[in-house]
Amino acid sequence: MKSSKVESKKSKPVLAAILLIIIIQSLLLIFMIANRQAILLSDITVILETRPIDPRSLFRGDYVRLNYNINNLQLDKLSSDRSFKINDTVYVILEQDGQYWAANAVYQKKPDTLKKQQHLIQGVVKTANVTSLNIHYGIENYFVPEGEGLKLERPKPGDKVTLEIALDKEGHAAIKALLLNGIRQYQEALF
Amino acid sequence: MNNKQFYKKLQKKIPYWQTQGWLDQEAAQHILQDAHSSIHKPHRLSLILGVMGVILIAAGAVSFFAANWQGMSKLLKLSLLFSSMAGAYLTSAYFLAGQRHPAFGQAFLLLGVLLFGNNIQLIAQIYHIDSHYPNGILLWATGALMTAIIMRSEIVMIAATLLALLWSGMEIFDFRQIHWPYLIFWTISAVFVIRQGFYLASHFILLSLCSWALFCFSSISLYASAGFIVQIYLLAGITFFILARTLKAMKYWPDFTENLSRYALLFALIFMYILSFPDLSLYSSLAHNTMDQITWLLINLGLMIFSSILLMGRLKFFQGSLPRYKLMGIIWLFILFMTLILNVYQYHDKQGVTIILINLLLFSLVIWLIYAGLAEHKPFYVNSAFIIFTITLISRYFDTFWSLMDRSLFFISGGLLLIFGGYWLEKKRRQLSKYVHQAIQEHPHAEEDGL
Repeated sequence: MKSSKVESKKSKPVLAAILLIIIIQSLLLIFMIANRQAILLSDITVILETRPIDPRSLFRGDYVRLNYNINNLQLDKLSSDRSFKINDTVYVILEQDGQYWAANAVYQKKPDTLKKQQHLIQGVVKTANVTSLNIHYGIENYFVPEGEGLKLERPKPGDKVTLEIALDKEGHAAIKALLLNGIRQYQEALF
Repeated sequence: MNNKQFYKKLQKKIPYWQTQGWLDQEAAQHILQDAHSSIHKPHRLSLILGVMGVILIAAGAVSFFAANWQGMSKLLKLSLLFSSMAGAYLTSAYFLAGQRHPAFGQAFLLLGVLLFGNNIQLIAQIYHIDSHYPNGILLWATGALMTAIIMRSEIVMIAATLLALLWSGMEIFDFRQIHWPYLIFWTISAVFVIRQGFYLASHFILLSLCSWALFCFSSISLYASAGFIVQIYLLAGITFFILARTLKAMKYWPDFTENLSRYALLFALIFMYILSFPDLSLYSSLAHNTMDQITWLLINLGLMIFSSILLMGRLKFFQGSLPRYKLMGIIWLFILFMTLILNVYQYHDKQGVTIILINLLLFSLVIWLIYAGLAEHKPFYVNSAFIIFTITLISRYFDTFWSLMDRSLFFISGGLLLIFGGYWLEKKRRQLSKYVHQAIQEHPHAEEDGL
């Protein structure tokens, strides 16, 4: 009886420490989800053109690697700063061009004001030279159910894959929906 | 016999030994305390099997989600992720509480950390999070470090060390930068390892720092030619070696500083060996242009001044006259510093005086290490000296005779040299090691601290 009481006393700090670890690590994971969900709840959305490439990840199942038109920017066709370096954070101003949204300007500092029909997207420079930039926005991978990656990677002639992107005020982006010929194939929801 | 059984046996035997007069009261208490402290250390085999088991479970969890995720709702996926992680941690709590089975407790703790990492990856997949991907590994490593600190777990600390190296490796190789933030993580980990006195983790911590320095080589080479980086790494190795010996002399963390001095010595020896090659094209003019000689000279001088200050501090601990070999060591260091300064300007002259001096310094260091190893009863110095001597001898044989001799004669004579030279060197190394071990047994407290 006495020994079980002693054992229970010894167990309490271990259990408390383990519960602390579970709580902190769960909060970190919940923060990841909440952060993404906050962007998806934003009212600002844009439709971007893309060319899907390269599906399938060995460990993570099927996914579509998305190559947006705004990934590669020609600096001579845009309003921009003079020099960019690899790993610079940049802000790209998007404007609607017909059905889709396209890049209008790219800056290293967040612009103070935007015109009414403009939105901001934040990215990181992957390669840079005098005339062009390759930028990643954190929306280049889209995971799809097993076996469906190929359909999106190699659409039939004439099919068009587009993405609906949610943006927050800082320009952080999240994929809201994947569309094939303007019809939603996958729509993001919290659960 | 496990530790608990051993302790119980001692409890029974010690009173008898005391009545026989073989042990006094104080010694008996110390022995019992020592045996008691090792009761709760997990059994090594159980721990190894447990760790292998949890790695398999974690791999199974990853492939399960990869293969079945389309069949589940997001809520079900998240419930499974969170409950599996919590389940692993609570199982570890069950085994660790009251020391039911510490080895399994540690293994399940590691499983919890692995599942935490798995959950980061899978949540990133479920919510299409594709941001700066090394951050995912950083989050994982931070969670592992936190778990190691809270639970004082050596095995989780080793996992955190490896994860941090993976994180930094991704930043260095995929984003081409010298990744300084790693050193903050490393310092926190090292302080914890030293405070807990973890033996195996201290090796991982030191090896990870050496690996990180090697990883950074490619990023630094964007600004400077390889030869200058090799020179800086050699000086860094020497500085850490002197720092470790000084801290050991001051009685700070003796086990950790002993290991640090060994890794630093090996690090310095490797880079001195690399620097001894005349034709390695270490100094490409293109890379050299990006950082001027003055900057490199200042970095060289900075390290030299710092190591000299440490050395002077170290010399303060000597009482009486300085042994002759230690004086020779200081002179050797001074000549090396002068040679390296000269090398900043003379590097392009492949047949120049610096390359000859560096080779002479390397061979004199080998002799010094053997002497110091014998004087200070340190087999590690003797073994390191023999290894570097053998490797250098083989390299010089290739350098010198490859173009001069007929190929068949080159290989036959090389083979004979390896067989007989190797036999002779091994014989000498064993003789010296035997001598050092005998000396340690005869005078266990006679170990003197080196430079």
